[in-house]
Amino acid sequence: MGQVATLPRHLLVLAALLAACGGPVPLTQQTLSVGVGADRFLTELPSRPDLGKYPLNAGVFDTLVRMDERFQVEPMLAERWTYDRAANTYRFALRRGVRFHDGTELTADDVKYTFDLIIKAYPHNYEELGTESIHAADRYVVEVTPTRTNQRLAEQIAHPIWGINRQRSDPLRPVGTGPFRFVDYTRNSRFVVERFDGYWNPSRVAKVHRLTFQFVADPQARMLAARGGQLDLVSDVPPSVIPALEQPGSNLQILRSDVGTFDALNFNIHGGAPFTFGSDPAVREAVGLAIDRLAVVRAAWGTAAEPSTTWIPPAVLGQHASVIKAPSFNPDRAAHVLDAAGWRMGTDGIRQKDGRQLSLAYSVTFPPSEHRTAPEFIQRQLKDVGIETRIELMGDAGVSGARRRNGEYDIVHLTGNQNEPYPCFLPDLQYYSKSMAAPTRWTAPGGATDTAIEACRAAADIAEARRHAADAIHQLVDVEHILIPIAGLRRIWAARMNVRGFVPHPSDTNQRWEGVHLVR
Amino acid sequence: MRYLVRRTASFVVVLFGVSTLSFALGVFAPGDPAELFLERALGRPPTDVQIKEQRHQMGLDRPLAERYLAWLTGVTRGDLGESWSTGRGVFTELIEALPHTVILALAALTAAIGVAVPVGVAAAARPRSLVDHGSRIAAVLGSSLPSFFLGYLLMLVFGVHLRLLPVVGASSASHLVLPAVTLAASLAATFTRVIRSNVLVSLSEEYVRAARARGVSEGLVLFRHALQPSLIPFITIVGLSLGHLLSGAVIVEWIFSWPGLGKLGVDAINNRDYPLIQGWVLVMSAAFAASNLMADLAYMWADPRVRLARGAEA
Repeated sequence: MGQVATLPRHLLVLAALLAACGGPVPLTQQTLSVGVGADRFLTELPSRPDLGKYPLNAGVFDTLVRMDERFQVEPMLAERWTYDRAANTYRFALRRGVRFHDGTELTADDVKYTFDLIIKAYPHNYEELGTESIHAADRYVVEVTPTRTNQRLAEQIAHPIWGINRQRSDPLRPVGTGPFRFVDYTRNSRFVVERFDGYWNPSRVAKVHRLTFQFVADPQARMLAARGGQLDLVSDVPPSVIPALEQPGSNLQILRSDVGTFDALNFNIHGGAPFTFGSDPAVREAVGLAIDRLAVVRAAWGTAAEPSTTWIPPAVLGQHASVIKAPSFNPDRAAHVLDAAGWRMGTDGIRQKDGRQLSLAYSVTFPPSEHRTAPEFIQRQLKDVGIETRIELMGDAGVSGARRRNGEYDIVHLTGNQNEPYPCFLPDLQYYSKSMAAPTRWTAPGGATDTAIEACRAAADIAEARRHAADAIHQLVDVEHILIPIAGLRRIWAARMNVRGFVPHPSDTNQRWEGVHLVR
Repeated sequence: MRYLVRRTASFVVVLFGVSTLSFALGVFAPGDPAELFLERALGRPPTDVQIKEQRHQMGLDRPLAERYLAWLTGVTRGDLGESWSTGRGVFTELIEALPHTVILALAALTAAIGVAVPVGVAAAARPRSLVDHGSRIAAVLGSSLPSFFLGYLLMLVFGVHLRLLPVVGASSASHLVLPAVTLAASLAATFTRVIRSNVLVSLSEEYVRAARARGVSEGLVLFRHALQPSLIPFITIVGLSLGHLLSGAVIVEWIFSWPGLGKLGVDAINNRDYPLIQGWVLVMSAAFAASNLMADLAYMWADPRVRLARGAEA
């Protein structure tokens, strides 16, 4: 009898407990788990102040300026800046009253300390900056004088690697001014941050209490962990699983960024024998005309990409993106161009000229999975106009890099990211003929392309820089036919249905986290 | 004693051979480690001058024999060099990852033995029964399913549909269950068949019949008279299975994000981190050779007939 009497009481307690568990967790106590790829902090040298900034930007740091989702520069820790052309000096006026996570105030000395640290850690990346370039003019003003004229500095330092560290803080226990403060980093496992209540921008104070970034290298495992509820949000969703996740009844939502990554073909125009096909402009033009990029993109990436004509994201070029036309799919025209150049169709369906078959070494950079099935589709389409390709999937980054450096290819299939708003970043890196970077010697045409890149660097304002960047790409794509844009790729995230406030950034290193939260 | 010395000497020879091969692997693999290092460090393609400087810093421009001798001298002192991708000592990297793999391997081994012994004995006690047929089918499945497939399958069932267990990570004991079961599956299959056949042979021996004739209970007959002698050859199988555990852990650790030696090896290969790859190969080979040696010694210790025979050979 006593047992029966206590049963309703137990049920009441149980019901109360269930009600407590089922209620919405207040934002101030919410924790969110984010599944990201392999721990790439591991491969950064210990002396570098990169932890929490790059490649995973966990919101611990703020930069002087930042790049928004449309690749535009906006003020962050620097309220305003000016450029003195005569002195080649930038003056950044810092926001006042900004606090680091340890409670100290941000000053110009912190900026100098951080910049000097980065310049020392990456001596070859920022050759136009030396430690003598940075000067704390007063408590809230930093002057930066590049060693050579550089009108694009403000766009370059929007990269999260330039996040400001508290001076003399331990880079392995990072202290910044960002909306999240560092809690814990376990190598190969997780990176944990918590909301910083003293964040300087009240409209951007983080909504959740804690974010745990879990490193999960295997994309399928990441997806399964999200489907099972272990992770709330996961990055780099494989395109093949997107259709299934968009079916009714799925417990995950798909979130897409704008285009931020490119996928393109690149000719070796200065190769030695046997890699000399790229020196023939007719071959280059015909390859561009023979590729149906819409079909390739739909088959290889589905809705995770869109056909690209501009190579870099069009938003970076603004209105000048329309200058670049890119060849349209026209196999008849491709055949005509090859015929006119003396490449006659052989009995085996492969064109020949002077006894040499038109058979291109088609190098697919590591990791080949990034390109999905695009190389095979392109191979099929080129075969239709009599161009044979021998696809070489690079087994690892070492082989891939060596082939590019030594010019042992006719065409190379590349991907890359636009992580800063400087519009000439990629043309300068890959196609400037006076660059000392080894792969550039096989791809850079010089002439008008170099002129456009140099004009872009020296441009007085960002609109002019965009115009010159578009000119440089127009030369490469439409005039020289060295570069064949294939696809613009989006960042694809999957989130549980109750995740809100997450806006995928086209450059994952610039992703923001303060708005993300859970609803019931 | 002489046998022990001989086996230990052959162990050293094997290690020397492996160390030479792992060094050669780093030397003759295509691609330039200096260039790769710089590309990762700079985030952009390096110049020829930078590559030349880096090759010098890494000692890659020194004669091959000199590099090999330096590496071998370091190995004998326990200095496996510095990881090119993390800048930390290779030995430190290996030591940090080792406990995770040991825990996973022990859990898998325990699970495999825990399943194999009762199921194997039950199958032998009633040949051609439902238990016997069932265990045979399970053994075929367990040994033929690739670990990556089984891993995903377990994730799907226990992580996604039933939501009983976490799918990735290594932060609690519950995280250990799925990777350990994945790793244990094929071992359990092998162990079960070995136990079954050994117990079956023992059950037909005279001493078992004599025990039954004396009225010893069936349970005692099975577990003392039939199982105990069957465990001696089982020791060898368990010892040799350590190699399986280590190689299987490479895939299992990768898909479950388990931060052990297997995942470390895959990361090292992806990063072309030759010092780490060389150290990893050396440690894995040493573990494999040591497990064989220990299995041999344990077998000798457990079975006096072997001890006497090997003593006579020596």
